[in-house]
Amino acid sequence: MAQDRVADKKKLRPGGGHGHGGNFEKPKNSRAAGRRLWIYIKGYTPILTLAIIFIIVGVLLRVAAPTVMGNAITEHLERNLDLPAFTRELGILLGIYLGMFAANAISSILVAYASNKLIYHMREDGFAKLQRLSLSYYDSAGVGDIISRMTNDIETIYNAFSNGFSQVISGMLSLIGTLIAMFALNISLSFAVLAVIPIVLVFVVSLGKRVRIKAQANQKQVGRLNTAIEESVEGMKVIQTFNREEESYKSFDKTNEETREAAIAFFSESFKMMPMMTFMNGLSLAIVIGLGGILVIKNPSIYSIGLISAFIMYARQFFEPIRQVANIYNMYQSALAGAERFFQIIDSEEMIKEPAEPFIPTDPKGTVEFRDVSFSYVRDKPVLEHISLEAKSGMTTAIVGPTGAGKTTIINLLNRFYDIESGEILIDGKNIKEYSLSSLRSMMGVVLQEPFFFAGTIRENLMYGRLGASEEEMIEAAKLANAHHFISCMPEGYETPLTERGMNISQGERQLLAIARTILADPKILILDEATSSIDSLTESHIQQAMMNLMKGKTSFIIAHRLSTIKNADNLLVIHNHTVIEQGTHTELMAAEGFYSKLYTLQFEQNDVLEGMIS
Amino acid sequence: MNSFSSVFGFLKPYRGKMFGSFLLLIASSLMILLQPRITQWAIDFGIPSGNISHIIGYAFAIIISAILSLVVNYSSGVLLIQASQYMSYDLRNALFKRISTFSFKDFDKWRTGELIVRTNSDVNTVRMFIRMGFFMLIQSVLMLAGSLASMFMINTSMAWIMAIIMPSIVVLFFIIAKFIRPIFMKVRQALDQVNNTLQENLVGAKLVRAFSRQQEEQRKFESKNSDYYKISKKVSMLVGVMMPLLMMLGNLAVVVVLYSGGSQVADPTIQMSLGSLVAFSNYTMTAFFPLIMLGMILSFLAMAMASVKRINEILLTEPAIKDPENPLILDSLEGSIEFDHVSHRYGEGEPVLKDLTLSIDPGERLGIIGTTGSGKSSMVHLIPRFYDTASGTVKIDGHDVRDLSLDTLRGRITVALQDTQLFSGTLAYNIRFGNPDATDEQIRQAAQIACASEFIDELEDGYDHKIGERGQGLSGGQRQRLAIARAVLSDPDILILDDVTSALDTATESDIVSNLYKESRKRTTIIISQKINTIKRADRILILDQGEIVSTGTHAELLRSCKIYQDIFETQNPAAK
Repeated sequence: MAQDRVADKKKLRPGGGHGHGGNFEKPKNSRAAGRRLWIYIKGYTPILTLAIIFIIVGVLLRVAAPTVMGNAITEHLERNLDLPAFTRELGILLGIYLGMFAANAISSILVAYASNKLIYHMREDGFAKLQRLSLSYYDSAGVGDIISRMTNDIETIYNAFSNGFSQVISGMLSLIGTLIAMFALNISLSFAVLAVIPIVLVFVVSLGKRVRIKAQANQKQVGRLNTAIEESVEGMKVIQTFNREEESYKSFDKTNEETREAAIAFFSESFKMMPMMTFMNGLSLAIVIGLGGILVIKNPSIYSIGLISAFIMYARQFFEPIRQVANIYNMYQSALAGAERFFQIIDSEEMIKEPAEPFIPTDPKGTVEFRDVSFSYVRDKPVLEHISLEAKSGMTTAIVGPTGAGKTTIINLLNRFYDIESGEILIDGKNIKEYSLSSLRSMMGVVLQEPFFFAGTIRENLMYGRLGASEEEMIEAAKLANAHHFISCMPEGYETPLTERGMNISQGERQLLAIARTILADPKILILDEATSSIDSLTESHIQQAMMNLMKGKTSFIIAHRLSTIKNADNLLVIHNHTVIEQGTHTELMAAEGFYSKLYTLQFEQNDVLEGMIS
Repeated sequence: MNSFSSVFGFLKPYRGKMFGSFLLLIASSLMILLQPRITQWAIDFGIPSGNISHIIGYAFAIIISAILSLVVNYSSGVLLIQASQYMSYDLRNALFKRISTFSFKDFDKWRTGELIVRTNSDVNTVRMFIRMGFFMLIQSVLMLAGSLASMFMINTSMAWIMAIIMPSIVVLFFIIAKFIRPIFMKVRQALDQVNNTLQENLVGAKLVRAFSRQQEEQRKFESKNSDYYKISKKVSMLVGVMMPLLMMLGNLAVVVVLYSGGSQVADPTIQMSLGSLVAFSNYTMTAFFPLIMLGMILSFLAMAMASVKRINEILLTEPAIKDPENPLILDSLEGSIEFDHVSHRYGEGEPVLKDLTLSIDPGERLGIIGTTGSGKSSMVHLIPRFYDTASGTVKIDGHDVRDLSLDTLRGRITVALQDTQLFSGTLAYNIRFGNPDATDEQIRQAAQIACASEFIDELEDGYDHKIGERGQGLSGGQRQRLAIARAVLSDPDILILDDVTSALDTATESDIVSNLYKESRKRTTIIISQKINTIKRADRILILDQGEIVSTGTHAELLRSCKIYQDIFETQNPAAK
């Protein structure tokens, strides 16, 4: 539903992608999130059972300690003075305290282990899911928001679990103990203590619901804040370039302020629990005194002031664990809100799926065929229509066309970043949808329009092309790409770190590195998408020969605006108005005097005048 | 402690709220103490009186005190919540503001994930301490002092034992806190790593898929995640054990009290009463309660201190480039640029510009071409002072750029950066980034100059079309045209295009250059490109090689005289061979 709405909205995705992501499906309700959280927790049943046992032991020892102490004083100091016996009893007391420490410490350690491991696994699963999601997901999902879901939201689950677990167990235990003691003493006064419980329940449940809603709003806002920081930091150079620090600060301030308000609303709401429970305690006390007082007057034979005093004490004892548990219930509600946001990642649809029986080629030839392929990022807004092409093994195909014609899209389809709507794409005669995704993409080496590098050394980034390549192979690849020279000139050579936004290498040098990385990958099918646009033509002509060598025996696709780069291709594909309008070699196309020849002439027309001046 | 006070200075504007909250907290504690009193009166006087209305009166008194305590307690908490939230809001704003003043050089040092953790999660840790720990700290110290005083009133000799034990335990806490603070620091650093890895993986999603490296990425994340898990687990366990440990210390103290008290009771010369022994051991327990609390708070404090230190790393960064003391503010620039023996390098690296001297006239149209890494971008980055030169001066209208205000420099000079970063939002929003006051008509004109209108007009929602973060959903060429439109709209006196036409086809590129040159306004224009086609109409072309000017001249002159230029021309124009 939510997805349809976005799909209806006209979106433009020529070089990029499709807007599915961001709109996470909403789980049916928070109960579903709770159930799924439970599945995660279930894995720790043995550890948690053990923890519960130790918690119970701890509680029992805690209850026993005052008795032993009282006994020691009464028996060995008060009734008869027996110091050695008293000391012996103190020894037992010491033992009890040590045992209590051990039990509590062990249960703490167990819970700490389980709760940390729990969120470790959740993060692990979340990351794995993020790797399976197709590119279209990232077109609209905010990076800062995803990070927030993977850290802050998961952390709320940790908080509720690590703080809540032992408190709930020991709270329950003392609740039961007090209840038994109370009812054993007097039933009607026990009911007087319990009289407020229905109100407490109604309050806790209704507050819980409000807390969850406010927690959701709060956590969503944290995600927005993260996104705002992330985007501003990434774009800060542009912001400074345009002297827009003030405006960007204002817009951050707005998000920040909204975050503050959402947080105040959430914390104020959840803070209502504690004072309210104290109030309920007072209310129950008043009932015990009122009712008890009347009963003492009406029926002094059964009800004594001593009994009422005992129940006044019980009313206090009874509400302490209730307060604790109610507070944990609050934390649980925020955890549910966090869990919902986390599971929305897990539930996001994987648009590109691995086939049921993935085909793994043993000796790929690299023949590529497009059969009547049509594609649109958004319905009714075709980007490519009825594209057919054939690239035999070892052949070089150049894709030419004006900006925004859909050249990059062809590459995106071949790589299966997006799935086509109609037609077929075949590699070695087999539909690419039948290939295992990893073997399909391993067959291809793409040099992307805007090279991306990870923070790490140049070596690490080159090795990304082929993990486990040897030193010589890496240097050889860098040499072929004409990158070796500038790398060697850097003080740390191949160990030079590439920083996230680093200025230490230029855009052109980045492209050279990207080419080297792909050379090292040694793919069967080579795709160069404007791979040399920022490289000067002299350097380009230097690496041209290397590229030729590289392309030998490989099926290659080249997208470039500089027509000199692609003149020698075996086949030129001219894309215009979403489809192939001309196809052939350079000579053929020039002879045809069509679109391509016009494009080519334009590129050099003014140079022609000057031609005579050289030579 | 000094660094600590700088962050806690952010609490200052809210000290009224804090103080109010504290007063209310005391009031609510008093009211809670009132309840047992009323209860006691009810038992001592109410019930024995046999008067039912009397008893009901007491019951109502309890209810009223409970309601009062509810209101007071809640208000106290809400005031504290507000104070802590307002403080963290101010802190985040201050961080953001500081980050905005980072120079490009400062920026290159930080990773996005780290900045996110500090602005969000670290601020949160400090806020949590303010909300949870601050009052408890005061409370526990007061309670501790109170119990000690009571103990001295009962038995001086035994109280002295406590007076020695307790402070030494507090000292122990500080030692422990000092010991765990680096561990908390490690936790935060490990979280940085998780965030960095995650952020990078998300931004580089396409590369990861293109190389089919999901498994490696998973492994990389696994290792960071497991580092974070291990160190967090360690801390959780430490803190988890600390509580029972402190409780045990308290209990041990009770045993010690009983043991020494027992012998005092038995000792006929002292004859300590049983009652005072019991009272004393009770006080020991009550004294240890705040001590335990103190221990927990100190560990919170250690956690907050680690975050404060990290926040300060940002707040105390003095930007490498900032306004001079008496900045020269100019409303407009003539547009002359002078490089006077300028050299530049990044960090300890090789010089990227070597003793460059050049003067550009107002209104001149300069083209720059040169090999990859020859210093083209570095050169133009010095003009609006994105970096400071290693030596030599850059002058604009005869003024050293270091004397001009940054507002003047960045406001009157616009560089369309090679890395065409766009923001999530509409296309209009992105173009308007160059000039927030621009009318729709001006936006349209700028888009036309940048040849962006042709693809925008094709969209159903035109200028209102929304794009994702980093301009996702646009092709490289479309992004470049938007970046040019944005730069044009800012209507600078000096316009610099740093190779932002690389992804455009020749026809579009020529059109843009013609449009720019056609504009009647006098403006110094510098265009960097790899393509001769883009720069050949410039008044003067500069050829850079390895940080030095090799040659200058018009297209025709260079074709005649400059070998490198001829070579470039030939590679781009095979027909000329």
